[in-house]
Amino acid sequence: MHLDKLAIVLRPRANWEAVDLGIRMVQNSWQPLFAAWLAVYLPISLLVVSVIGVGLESLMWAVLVLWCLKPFFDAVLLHVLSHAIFGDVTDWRTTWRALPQLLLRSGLINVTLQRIAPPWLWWCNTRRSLLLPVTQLEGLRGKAARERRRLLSRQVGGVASWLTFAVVNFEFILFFAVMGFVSLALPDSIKEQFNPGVLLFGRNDDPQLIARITMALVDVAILGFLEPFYVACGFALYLKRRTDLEAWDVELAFRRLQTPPKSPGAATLTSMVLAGVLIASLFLSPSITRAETVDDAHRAVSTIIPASSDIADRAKTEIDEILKRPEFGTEYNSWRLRKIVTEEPKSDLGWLDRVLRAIGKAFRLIGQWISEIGRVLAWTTLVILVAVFGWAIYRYWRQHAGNIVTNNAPPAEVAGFDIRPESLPDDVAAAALALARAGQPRACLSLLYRAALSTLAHRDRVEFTRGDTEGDCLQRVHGGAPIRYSFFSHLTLAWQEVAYARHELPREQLENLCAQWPQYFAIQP
Amino acid sequence: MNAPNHLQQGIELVRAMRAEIAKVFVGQDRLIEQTITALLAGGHVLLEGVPGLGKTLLVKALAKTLGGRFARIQFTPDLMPADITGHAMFDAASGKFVIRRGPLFANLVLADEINRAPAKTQSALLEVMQEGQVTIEGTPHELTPPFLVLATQNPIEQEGTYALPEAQLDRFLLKVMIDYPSAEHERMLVQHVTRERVGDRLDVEAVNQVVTPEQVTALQALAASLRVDDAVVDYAVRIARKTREWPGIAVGAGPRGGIALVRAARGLALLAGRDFVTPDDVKTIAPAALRHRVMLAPEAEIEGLTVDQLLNNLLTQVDAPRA
Repeated sequence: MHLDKLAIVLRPRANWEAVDLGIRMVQNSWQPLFAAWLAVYLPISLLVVSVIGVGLESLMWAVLVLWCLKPFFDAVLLHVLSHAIFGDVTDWRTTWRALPQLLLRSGLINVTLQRIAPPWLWWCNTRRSLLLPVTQLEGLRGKAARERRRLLSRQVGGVASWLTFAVVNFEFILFFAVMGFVSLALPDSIKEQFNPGVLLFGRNDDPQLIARITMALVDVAILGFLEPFYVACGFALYLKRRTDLEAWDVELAFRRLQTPPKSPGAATLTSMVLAGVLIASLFLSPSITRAETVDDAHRAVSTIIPASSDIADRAKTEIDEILKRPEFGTEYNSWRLRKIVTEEPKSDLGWLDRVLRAIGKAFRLIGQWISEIGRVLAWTTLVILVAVFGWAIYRYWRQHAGNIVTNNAPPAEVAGFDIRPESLPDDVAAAALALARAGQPRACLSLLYRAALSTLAHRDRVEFTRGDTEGDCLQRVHGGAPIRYSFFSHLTLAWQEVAYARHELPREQLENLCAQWPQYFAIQP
Repeated sequence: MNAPNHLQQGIELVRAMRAEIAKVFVGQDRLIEQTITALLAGGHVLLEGVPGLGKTLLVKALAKTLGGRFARIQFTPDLMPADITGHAMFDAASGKFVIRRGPLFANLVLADEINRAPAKTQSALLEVMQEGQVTIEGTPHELTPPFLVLATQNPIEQEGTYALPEAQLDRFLLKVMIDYPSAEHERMLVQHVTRERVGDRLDVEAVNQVVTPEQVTALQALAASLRVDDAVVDYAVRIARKTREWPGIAVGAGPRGGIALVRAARGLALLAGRDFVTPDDVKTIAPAALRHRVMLAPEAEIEGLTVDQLLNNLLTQVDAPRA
């Protein structure tokens, strides 16, 4: 690998900074990147949509196939990006020619194996953009690839998973936003057809064909826009991890130092000083992890600067001397005795302890109060329930045992009459007869009728209401006190004739009614 | 047949009419009662019910009992006012315009599905109902009494109908709801209609004429002369006024509602064989006389309440008259 030809600056980066680098990579070379990418992606995805989604009438299967093809598409993108970081522009023809090799090396395996991998290997899928270069660029297989993936994932795997999660979410958000916008812009008559659930899982009916194709195209467009960013961010994470692991930035610095010097002696001296400073800074930098060991540094120096073994030896000696300085620390072993306390030690926190104990006691008291109140409430509720139950039983017994039809108090007035018992004379029949003989038939019948209603309402518990007319009262008596119905109907008829027709009834008829009244109403049946 | 000179004769005639109609119109006693009540009160009836419940049979039977002229008008969207009132036509033989009278010149008119005709035709009919005369080419023509219109409405199939405005509904004395007969009555009806009968034509042969149109006019005069106590009039007015403040009713009945209550109660009292009106007559006829004069409030409609439910509640709450 020619690191010195890299178009990006390699330096120790934080994880999310590396993701930012991926975005910048896409921005810097978006034209060739998207040209090569879309040249491959669009024909294949449109072919899938038209053959499976439209031809075979299953949009769900088309979307599923596109989802399975994602690792293959990523391989295409990585191919373009891996050339782009060296400043090598890949046009669409080159990309198409590289397709068979890509399919064989990474795409096919990823499509067939990773996508249907068992759940315990899904972590590979969630870090796809980070781990894709292992097989595609490094060409590793089998156990070596697995170990390599584990090593790469150790520091940046979480970020790679979050990256996948974020891009998937962004894909959904974009999809629903675009579909929502489309359905908002549509007339109501065809808006119903743009329901993504129905479109995805229903069959291709003619009225929905355009809606389905629209949805598929929206999905294809979103994927085509987002996938380059996803792959570039993952690739940038990969580069960051490699830089951390293999100190590429240091290597680059040394390579620059190795460029042909104008004065060999001065160059050698300068390079030695710089090497010392760089390595020292390497050790002091907290962000560089794997390259922090002394052995790694030695190896780096010995492998990167092979030109002069003499310089290397001298540098090694100087490094050893520097490392022996107290600033780099010393190792020693020491032993001491420690008492193992098994009992809970008494707290001697003083006033803080007392305050805490008081708070604890207060909480205990509050708890006791709550429990006491709960106990009283529970007993009260129980007593009320028993009382209500007893009252319901009593009421049921009263109603079904016979005499009382209802507990509703009779109204004070029915059909315009005051039917309260206290408003009636003690001997109703005698009072009515006196009125009849006094030539007041209307008053006579009014008294008889009113007293009859009062008796029916209070003694027989016939339910009258304020709005009951004479006919309504007669019907109620027929249902509530049938033994009095016959006489009451005669009385009602006589009353109506006097009250509303102003007919003069014969005195004999009035006297008969007065005489019969006590038989039906004055004596308990 | 002579005109009824006194009450007993009138009562017998009315009972005879009722009995004759009941021969062929089985299981709808209340409908017969309310139709005769409207006839006696000189009012018109709006019938509402699904098709096939015998509305036409009722009118034909009623027409036959009084021997009057019967006409049926099927209201359609293209029906013009002249189609029902009549028009002037040039007679080439005499060289003059002659008046061709429309179907409204009858004693009993069945206006079938009145809400299917456009508003101008409905207005023409309702004007005739109110005025009792038909104007053709500027000349008024008096209708021969008795004149009773029974208009029908279908509560279903509201597509393409012209609902009668509230002001025009007010012209009808009663709005009668026809419901399905009970199982027993329906069995009797089917037996009666299908016995030795070919086809499904309505047969009112069993009905005999028991009154003449002139006697009906006399009966109407008799009903109008029945005594109504002040307390009963007050009761009718209180019911009508109560509809204006009753919760669930957006627009209550106007003064015409109280008038209709008393008129209809008189007819009902005569049918019951009384020479006076009781509060029961008013209360019995109140739903039919008021249900088309009130408008349900939106909140009551949302709660699923009907006009009849509200009116029944109202009637239980209005104090019966203090005699």
